[in-house]
Amino acid sequence: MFSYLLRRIAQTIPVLLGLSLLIFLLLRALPGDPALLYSGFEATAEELADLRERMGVNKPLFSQYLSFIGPALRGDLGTSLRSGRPVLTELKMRLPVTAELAGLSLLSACFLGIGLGISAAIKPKLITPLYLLSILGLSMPIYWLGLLLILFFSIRLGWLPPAGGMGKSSLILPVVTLMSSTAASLFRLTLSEYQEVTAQEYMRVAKAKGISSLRLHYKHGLRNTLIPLVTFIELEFGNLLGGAVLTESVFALNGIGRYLVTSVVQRDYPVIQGAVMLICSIFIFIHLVMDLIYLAIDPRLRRR
Amino acid sequence: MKRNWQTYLGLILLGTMVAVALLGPALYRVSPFDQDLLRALEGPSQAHPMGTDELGRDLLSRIIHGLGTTLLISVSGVLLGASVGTVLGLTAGYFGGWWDHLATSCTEVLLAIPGFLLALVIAVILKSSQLNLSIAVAIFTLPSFARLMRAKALELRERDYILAAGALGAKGRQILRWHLLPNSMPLLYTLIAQRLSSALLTASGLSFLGLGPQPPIPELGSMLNTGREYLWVAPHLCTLPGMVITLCIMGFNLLGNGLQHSSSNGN
Repeated sequence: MFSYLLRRIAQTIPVLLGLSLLIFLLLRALPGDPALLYSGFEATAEELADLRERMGVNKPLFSQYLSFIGPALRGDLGTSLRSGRPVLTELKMRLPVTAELAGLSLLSACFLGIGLGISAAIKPKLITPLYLLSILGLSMPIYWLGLLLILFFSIRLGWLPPAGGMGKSSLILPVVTLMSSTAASLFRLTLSEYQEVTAQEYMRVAKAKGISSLRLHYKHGLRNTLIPLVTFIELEFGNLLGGAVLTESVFALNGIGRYLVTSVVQRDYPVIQGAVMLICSIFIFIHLVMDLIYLAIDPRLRRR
Repeated sequence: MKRNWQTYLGLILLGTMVAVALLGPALYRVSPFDQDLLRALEGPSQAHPMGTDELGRDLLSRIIHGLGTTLLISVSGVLLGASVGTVLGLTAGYFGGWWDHLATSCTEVLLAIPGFLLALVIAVILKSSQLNLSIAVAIFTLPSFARLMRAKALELRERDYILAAGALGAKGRQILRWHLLPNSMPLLYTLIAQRLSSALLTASGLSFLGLGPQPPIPELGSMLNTGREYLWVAPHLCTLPGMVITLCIMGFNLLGNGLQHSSSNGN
């Protein structure tokens, strides 16, 4: 098992390197002069030359990559062209906002999606209304749902702060927005998996044995549906991280996603590069952690 | 078993949307570009059935034209990504060897980037325009097709009829064209229908962030982006285009679900 873990960690290294190369090439080897694009076509020739020097884009492509990846391995992602501060500092400041948003959304999506899925599997009457609701949840774009929630709860009712508010109550609407599609797909998956499990013989045996209904559904039901659910959650992380970009923009939350979008508008390349690299590394790290979770929930896998 | 109600409902919904996008401009002959600043941000009226936007342009006409733009971007993006991904996946799975290694590792690196972020990066690199947004959607779609089609090719290439075709002297290209491709078609249709909804979400999301077609071209996502500044005074600028996007995505979702359901039930 330990060697499996080591092998798994070793596998992520080429992916990370390939990723950094891809992002670097995509952002640097574009047609057009990055310095010119950044300055917005208004700089003089000297200013441009100075800017090229500062951005390091007058060197050959390969040495540019080396001067990016070398410090990056030591945790230095360069400095922002706009604020002049280290990219890593800027990102560190904003990471907690995004982490809190995505984490809370995932958690509430799990409770809601899995809970409703199991309830529907036990009480078939609930299936149709919940299924229709899940279609709606999957079809509403994040930014539209967010704007509708602001319109209803902030503007009409005045219950919750619309955007950019402080305090925990300002997180309610963003979390509801970001979790809805995840909760809807989790509901569907749980429902279909759970229907399969309840049809199994061992469920009837356990029931005949006379164990309590809670124990039956927790130990025999939920436990056996966990693997597909965890696989789904693993894949859903990407959507959550992407959705966080939109949610933060709608609700003016000062997280990594909105920082990325403003940097995109301002053509602040070191920041775009650093932010994308950071989000992708988090994504890869989550995959790694998920592999360990598989081992924890399915004892059969530990024997490898 | 009414297993296909989702397919039918999805087709009806999408048919309506496509009909509106295609026939709408011919039937409702109000320009989406004509400004009338004196009548900006008005609610529904006789002259403007859905009201006007911040520049006094007719909202209904902008939604009809915008729907066409949005659908064109996502459908062309998915078709492009699906064709490249399918060719990549089938050849990688069938021929194997160094080509398989190369294609698989490229796909893996692309899959390591959250999909929306990948599309965002591509949209940043290319200038913001309609064509470039389709390309971003295509690259976003490509890796999932490449991976699933490779798996399909691995499964099919051991089948007896493929082996027989090879034994009869068929070249690799012929086997791909006449045996592998036709037999992957059902999977391909289902995948396309499923990916269309996420492509539409991504495309309109990117143009909501200002990375799509530039004004004055009407597009649903960018209409929401400009509309949200007027959320307090004229909420219809957000609610109506958003509802149209939701109906389209719902159509694609229902179609994708229905197709998957019927194919998993053995047609």
